[in-house]
Amino acid sequence: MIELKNLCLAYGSHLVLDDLTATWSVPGIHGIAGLNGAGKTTLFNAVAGFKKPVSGSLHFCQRTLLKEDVFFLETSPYFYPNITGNEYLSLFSQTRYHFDGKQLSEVFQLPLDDLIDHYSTGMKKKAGHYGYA
Amino acid sequence: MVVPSSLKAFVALRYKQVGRLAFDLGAYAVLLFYDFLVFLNFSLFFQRDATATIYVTAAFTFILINIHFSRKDLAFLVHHVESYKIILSVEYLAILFPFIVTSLPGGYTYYWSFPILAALALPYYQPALKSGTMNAWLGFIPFSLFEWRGGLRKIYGPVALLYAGAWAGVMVPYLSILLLWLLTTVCLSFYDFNESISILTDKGGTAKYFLHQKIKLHLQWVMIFFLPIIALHLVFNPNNVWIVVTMVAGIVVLWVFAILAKYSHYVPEHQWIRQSNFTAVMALLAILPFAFVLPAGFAIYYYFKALKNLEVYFND
Repeated sequence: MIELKNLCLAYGSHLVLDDLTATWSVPGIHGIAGLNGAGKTTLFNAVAGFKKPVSGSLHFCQRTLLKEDVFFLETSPYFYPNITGNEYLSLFSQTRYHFDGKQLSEVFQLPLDDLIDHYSTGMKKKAGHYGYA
Repeated sequence: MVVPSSLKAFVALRYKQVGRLAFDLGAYAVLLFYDFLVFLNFSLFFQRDATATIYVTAAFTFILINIHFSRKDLAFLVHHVESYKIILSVEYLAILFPFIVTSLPGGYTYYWSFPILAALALPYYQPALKSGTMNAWLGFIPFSLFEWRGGLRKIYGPVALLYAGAWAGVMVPYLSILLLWLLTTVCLSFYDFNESISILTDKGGTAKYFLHQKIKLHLQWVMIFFLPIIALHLVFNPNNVWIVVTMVAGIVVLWVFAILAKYSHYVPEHQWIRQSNFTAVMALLAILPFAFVLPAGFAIYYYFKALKNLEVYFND
């Protein structure tokens, strides 16, 4: 169960989400719909830990939601310029003993020796997954 | 001492990035390295004086703060790399290192404790995500200068500081002009992003007409901001007028070069990172004596290239 309790999110004095409470069952596939500027991305940024709530809390299976619980693919994942896919992977493989870049590469079929700057939009989205593998 | 493996990976990454950039730049990389040596020489010269050392260290503290607040990879590092604080500190200390070394002969190295403290403390602070409209004060800049409006929203801090510094330094020979050049190098990043076709062709006409109008408008506004400072500087420093005039001509050439470079590679709503890097290199090189002939030569080349490139979008 993913639970948001009385969540308030703001940019400066501009309150984007006010006292939001919601529950989603796990496992499951859920969608969030809303008008432009309603705060959908802001909510996901908060779930991923990019944005700190003004108040309220986020829970996962009856405990506080941790960074490790979340797999979040940003709208535009960040890549350092002038680096290859393999070099990007090296950032993760050095720090995570359980990281298996080869397995992911087999799934995604990315040209890891090419510069990421030359990847297509779809390839960049795939490469963005490595950050959470 | 145990060096975190992520730091090793990050240093290797930076090393490769710099290597590829140098390879892309070819012979210009050598010039840029020479440029860097000239900066170090300036640093050596300025830091013989206690007051100048305070200014230099204050400037570097400000530069580090600005880098930290504007870096795009901060969220990535915080969320994906375990030892990100050490990585950030090492990177900031690496920026300071050459200038700390050049302070040693002057004997005022202890002033560098402030930027060093900033380098160690900044990684502990994460700027909050921003959203929404900001800086309503930009209203005085017309919409036709959309590059300036967009650019100022991103980096108004350094721009305001350099501009205020240029006003404050009018009595010191060449200081204001040097700061206006530095301000120009910062502002040229405004031209990194390409507008949509509808904005490009808003006024209609031919590519030639568009380019001429664009350069005219932007230079007019550059002069509105720069000329009062240059004039006041010449009032306080009436000697060496020709050197000042030459430096100002170099600054004007840089603005024209940046606009033409942008449109010679224009693709709607796109950014060429290599072209942006090249523009930045040209701006930095222009401080070398007579080196502004390089951007001047490229401006002529880019003018014809831009005319050809824009033909597709205009009624030529």
